Amino acid sequence: MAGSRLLFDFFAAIAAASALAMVTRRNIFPGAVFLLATLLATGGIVLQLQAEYAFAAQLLLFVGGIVLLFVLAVMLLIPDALHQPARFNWRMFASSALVLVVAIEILAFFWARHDAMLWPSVAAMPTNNTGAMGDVLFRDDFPAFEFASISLLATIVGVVMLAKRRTE
Amino acid sequence: MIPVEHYLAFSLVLFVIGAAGALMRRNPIMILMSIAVMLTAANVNLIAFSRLWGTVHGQLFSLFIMADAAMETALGLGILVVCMRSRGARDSAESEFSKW
Repeated sequence: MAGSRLLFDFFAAIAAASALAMVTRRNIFPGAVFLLATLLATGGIVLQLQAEYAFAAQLLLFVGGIVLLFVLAVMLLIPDALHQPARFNWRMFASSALVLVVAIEILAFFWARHDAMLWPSVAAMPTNNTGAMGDVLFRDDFPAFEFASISLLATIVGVVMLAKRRTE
Repeated sequence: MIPVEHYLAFSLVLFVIGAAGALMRRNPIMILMSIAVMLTAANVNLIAFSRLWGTVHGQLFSLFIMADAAMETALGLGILVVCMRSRGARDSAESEFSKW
């Protein structure tokens, strides 16, 4: 128990620190590397929750796919032109205050309803995680899976059409 | 299992950082990366409650969110490339649509 708690704290600290570093970096490329660290650390937490399939998908889709897309885009779009000029204006304070207010609101909600929130006792997970996922995905929730496939296909076609268009 | 409140707190921290980044930064790529962090925070919540209830439905939703994040990133970067091609890189990085 203590070991898993230590592991959770370790991964959570890495993820939060990397996310903070990503948001505050002025240059995008280190930002992409910090995003990678955030997603990997979150993957550790997901694995700790016995979600092996979601962990694999996180590694393949998020870390492998999305971060690669970001890095490619940064390289493609000339990094020099995308440097963020140092600017500390009202916008920074306004957005930070807004986000802080939302966070306090959510925390207050948890605090106020803490007695009322009765979580169930932890239930046992199916031992074969991937098998259970397949059962739900391909038998019970098959239309949702198909909708996801169709929207992915539509996105691919849309992006290809966008990229092929010649602009004078 | 670690109490689910810990996962909620972690997810809240991650989401707040992502939201701050999405609101604070002007660079479209940075905004997209912050949105990816926010989606990851939502994923952690879903998977934690999936573990709590002992079913895989939350993990299923997290899979769909990952597919959604991939779509959103690809489409956003595609639009950015088109913007860059028609208006130049500096204009796209500092474009009006990211001002508020």
